[in-house]
Amino acid sequence: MPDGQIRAANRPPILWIALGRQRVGKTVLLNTAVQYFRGLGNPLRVWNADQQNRSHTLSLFFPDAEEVTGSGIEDGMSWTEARIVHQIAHGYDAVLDVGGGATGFAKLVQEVPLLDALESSSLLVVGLFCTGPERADLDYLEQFAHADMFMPPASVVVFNSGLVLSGRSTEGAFAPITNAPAVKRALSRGAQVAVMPALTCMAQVTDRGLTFEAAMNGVAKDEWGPLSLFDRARVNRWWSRDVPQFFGALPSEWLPLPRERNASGPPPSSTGEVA
Amino acid sequence: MAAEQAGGRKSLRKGIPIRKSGRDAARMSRNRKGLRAVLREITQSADRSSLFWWMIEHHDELKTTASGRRLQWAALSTRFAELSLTDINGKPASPRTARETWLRARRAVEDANRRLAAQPPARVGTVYPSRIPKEWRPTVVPPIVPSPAGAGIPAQVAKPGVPAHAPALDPPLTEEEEARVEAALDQVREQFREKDWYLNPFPPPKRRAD
Repeated sequence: MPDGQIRAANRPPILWIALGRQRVGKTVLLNTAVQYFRGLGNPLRVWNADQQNRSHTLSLFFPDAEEVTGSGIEDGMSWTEARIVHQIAHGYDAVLDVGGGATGFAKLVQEVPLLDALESSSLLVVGLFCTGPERADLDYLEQFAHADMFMPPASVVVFNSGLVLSGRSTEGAFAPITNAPAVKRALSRGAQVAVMPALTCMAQVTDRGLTFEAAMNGVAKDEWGPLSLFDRARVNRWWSRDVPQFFGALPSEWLPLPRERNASGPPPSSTGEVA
Repeated sequence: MAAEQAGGRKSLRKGIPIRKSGRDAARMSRNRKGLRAVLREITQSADRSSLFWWMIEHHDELKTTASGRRLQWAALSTRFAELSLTDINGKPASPRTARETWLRARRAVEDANRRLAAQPPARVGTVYPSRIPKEWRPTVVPPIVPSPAGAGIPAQVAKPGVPAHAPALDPPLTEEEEARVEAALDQVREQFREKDWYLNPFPPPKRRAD
């Protein structure tokens, strides 16, 4: 759990941006984060700029998610730009799923030295560089960091252990990643590392469109039955123990904790469907 | 006297005093233009702060000065402000911004030098003889190093203008940085091992030292 040491009332607005190629867990990470921090009491906004993924987007999980209206890269770029300007003006917290591949966000940071432009604003941008165990998963980190396009001082390299094939050693699978110069370079510049805990029945939960709380409590939805007994136990341990540990390991000043109250306490709870 | 001082300050404000005098100056200017063009290509946009470009122009001097010592960014940022060198928003750069701008400038110059080094040499005959500097001498091609007999490995032929090994893209980590990075990665590897415990739940007991 976040330790609540930071005086959340005085902190700047926070924007979490998940980056990485497709299928490395950006949406799962942000889905988890939104459920977690909303459960703690922060009504952070959800921005879905993933224009290529249709089956598992944040809009599917959160009906109040704002999404890009057009389908072109220019649409994505101008939309993202407008969202950030709006956020700076109103001071709320948000998460941004930029999607993978050629994105409007990539075009934006190519055109504008975004971090320099935001330097004078009070916005704290947190870059979450998601990676699985494949070497090519680091392409984004290498490109964004080395070409000096986008590497916020508050950056986290997220190793998604959920992408390791069952039965394979996590340490062995991630060895090419932990030894990669791009990762070491990012860490030397102040980035943090974190290991996203695996939930082997993640698809069972997301296919149902349930919150993790609802899934572990055996809520059924539509034609789907509730999760099996063991899957409920898996979700329970993941949501109640692993996820709080994961977020608690990050610098507390980078977390979108609620401003009104101390964030420490039991895991957030909610019922029913997501959002 | 006062006018001279004012003139001096003005030249500092204009910054980027790269042109010296005579033929060397003209050649330096052309080289700088080439470097700048490559830098613009690397940095994707000419929309950079005046501080960034100043650091590009004074890269070598700054790097030499900074060698082996820690730069005092608080004092330097004050000096930059006096020279009207600003961040991307036209505001005086904070010590943190100045430090990060310097890191970007270093990376950009290294990348540009790498690209310039990788460019093929100009075709023979593209420079008029009158434009060839006096000190020019033909490139001496190193002799071919024969491979050991029977090794089955082709001999390496050195290409003029192409470094044998590609230079590092970023400055190497200092010992302190390396230690900090490895400590962070060791923590991650420990987490991985905890997740992997089921693969080897009963490791052999450690041997006693005695």
